[in-house]
Amino acid sequence: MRVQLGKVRPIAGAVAALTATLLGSGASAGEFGKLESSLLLYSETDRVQAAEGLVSFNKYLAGGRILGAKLTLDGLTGASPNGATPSRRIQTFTSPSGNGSYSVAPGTTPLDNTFRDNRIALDVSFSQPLDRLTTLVLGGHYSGEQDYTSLAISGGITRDLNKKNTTLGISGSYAHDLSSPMGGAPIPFSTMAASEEDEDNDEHGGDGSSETKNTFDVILGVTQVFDRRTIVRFNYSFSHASGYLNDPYKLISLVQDENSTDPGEPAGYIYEGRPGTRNKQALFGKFRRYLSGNTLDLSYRYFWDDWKIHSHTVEIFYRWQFDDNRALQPHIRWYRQSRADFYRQFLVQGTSLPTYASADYRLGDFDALTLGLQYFLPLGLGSRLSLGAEYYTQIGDRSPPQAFGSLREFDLYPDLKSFIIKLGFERDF
Amino acid sequence: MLKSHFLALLVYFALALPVAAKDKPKSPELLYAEFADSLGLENKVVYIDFWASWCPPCRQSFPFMKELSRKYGSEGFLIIAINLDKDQAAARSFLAESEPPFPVLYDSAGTIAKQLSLEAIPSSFIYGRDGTFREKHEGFQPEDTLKLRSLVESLIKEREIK
Amino acid sequence: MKIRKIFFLITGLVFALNIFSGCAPMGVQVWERDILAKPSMQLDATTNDRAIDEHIYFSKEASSGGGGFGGGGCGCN
Repeated sequence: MRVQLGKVRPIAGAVAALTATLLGSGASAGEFGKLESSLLLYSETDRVQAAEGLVSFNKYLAGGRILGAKLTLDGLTGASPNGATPSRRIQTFTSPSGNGSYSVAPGTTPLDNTFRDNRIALDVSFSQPLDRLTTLVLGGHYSGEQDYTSLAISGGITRDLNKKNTTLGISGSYAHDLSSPMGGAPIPFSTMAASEEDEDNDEHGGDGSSETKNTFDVILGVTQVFDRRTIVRFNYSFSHASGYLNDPYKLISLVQDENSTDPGEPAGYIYEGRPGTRNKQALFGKFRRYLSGNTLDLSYRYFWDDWKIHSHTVEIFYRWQFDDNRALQPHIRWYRQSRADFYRQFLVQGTSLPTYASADYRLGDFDALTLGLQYFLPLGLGSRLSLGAEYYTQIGDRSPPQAFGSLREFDLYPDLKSFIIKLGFERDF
Repeated sequence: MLKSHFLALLVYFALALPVAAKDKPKSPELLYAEFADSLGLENKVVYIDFWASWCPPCRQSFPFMKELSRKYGSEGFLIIAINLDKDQAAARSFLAESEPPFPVLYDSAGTIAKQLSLEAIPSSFIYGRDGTFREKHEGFQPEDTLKLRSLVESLIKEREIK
Repeated sequence: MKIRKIFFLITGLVFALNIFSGCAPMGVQVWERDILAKPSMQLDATTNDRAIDEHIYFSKEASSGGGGFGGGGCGCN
């Protein structure tokens, strides 16, 4: 289980939640453990389709200790933007593996539909009270997919003060990631490999070796009870990543300049290059209030990093509790991101190349909105079911001011629209 | 007999609480003293337990307390459970299912709890046959039953005081 | 005029002091946590749900944090 001590005591907090089947239900409190399983179905219109399944089990041991394990399986298919801009003509790109190519119709955003990815992840966690007011949590994580492996460890401590009205938490983690891109990691700004001809992949410099990335994270958090019905939480998180931070499959279009015969049309494609380090920071606040049986949850996060990305996230949940323990929870999330300073939707042939550049839309300027509705249904015998449906959309600048020539004809940031279905099952033992 | 005791105490508290010194701190000894006269606690091992129905360890401690009560009740062991639910209906609903053989009193305003400055729930105060305060136990975990059972047993074995 | 200013200043101070003395210490007694004990008031419940949400947003957006650590191994961002 990913230890998220910034949200203070995920394990210990879960004990109170899980064993409290409280007023009226009559079901036995979970004394031995809790099982949670979830299914996610994710579908972007014309793009990525994904399915994810998670099973987690927490076992309560003597002395208030908890041992947890979680297994996650992911499958992704579909198409994802490769970073190139649309063109009036058909464009052909080499598949990431180097074996073959794919073509894209004129006027459309180039999408690489050759990838299929399956991922498995395993999380373990252990929580140990050191005394009545202090808890220690340790965690480990492994995830693997065809071209990427990640190993991480984490640890944290929480301490209660003021008759448990205040809880302070600190946690840290270290992750070591290994990236083994198909075809090898390309040298930034090298030309896209020609397919089939370059069997050794040495024209774009990929030598088939792996790249590593190390990430250190620290989270400081405080949770405070305001009154009988109100609880708030604040976190500060800091993350330092160094190593290979590029997306090995993303390209940038090198377009013909304004004085050429076909301004804005692609002359070639080069691989992106990002800095070798990234420092991220975030401030997060959450407020939850009980209102005559229902609950309101408001949260805000401000994020910033040394790539000059800034973002605001506002999220609101309202849980409508019905008498018989069923509940309906609408929620809305609004997100606004401002781009990395090296984000470029395209580069102009003949101009000097910047030190870093990426056309990955996820680093650009955009707004995102999530609208969701979740339904909770107790099934008796300490079991609960939840069903959720969400709509997520990203809206960017389709006609940025720097577009010229043929680029002006195209939508350079097509909206992303996705539908999400979640199914959840919980059981107390 | 338990019911009349229970009723008597309910009336006692209903009358006494508003009158009783509101924020005057109370010691465990004073707590005992308040019950001693009305309940006849002489020569009894007394276990005063503060609990609430919304508190999972409290609920989990009830089967244990019921077991102790049945086993040692005839040997002069008495549990007095003081409920701190603000919503008494919730407490009653739990008690209807649990049906404990010991008296339950209500301090829904939390007055006594405040006077004792309780720092945990459940909190138990255990007294010997001689009326002296022996131990405060905070919280309840399944493995606590061993320690508590042996404490109660040793207190039961203490000779009766004349 | 000056007297009015002093009056408002004193009133404001008294008001502020009342608020602060009433506030401290913030929180509830241990036996007053009935509502806070409810599952819907647990900030750390629904762990699978939040893990799913964070995975989606980590894959589609540049931000992370507010909980959890980066480098979740999906190879994105």
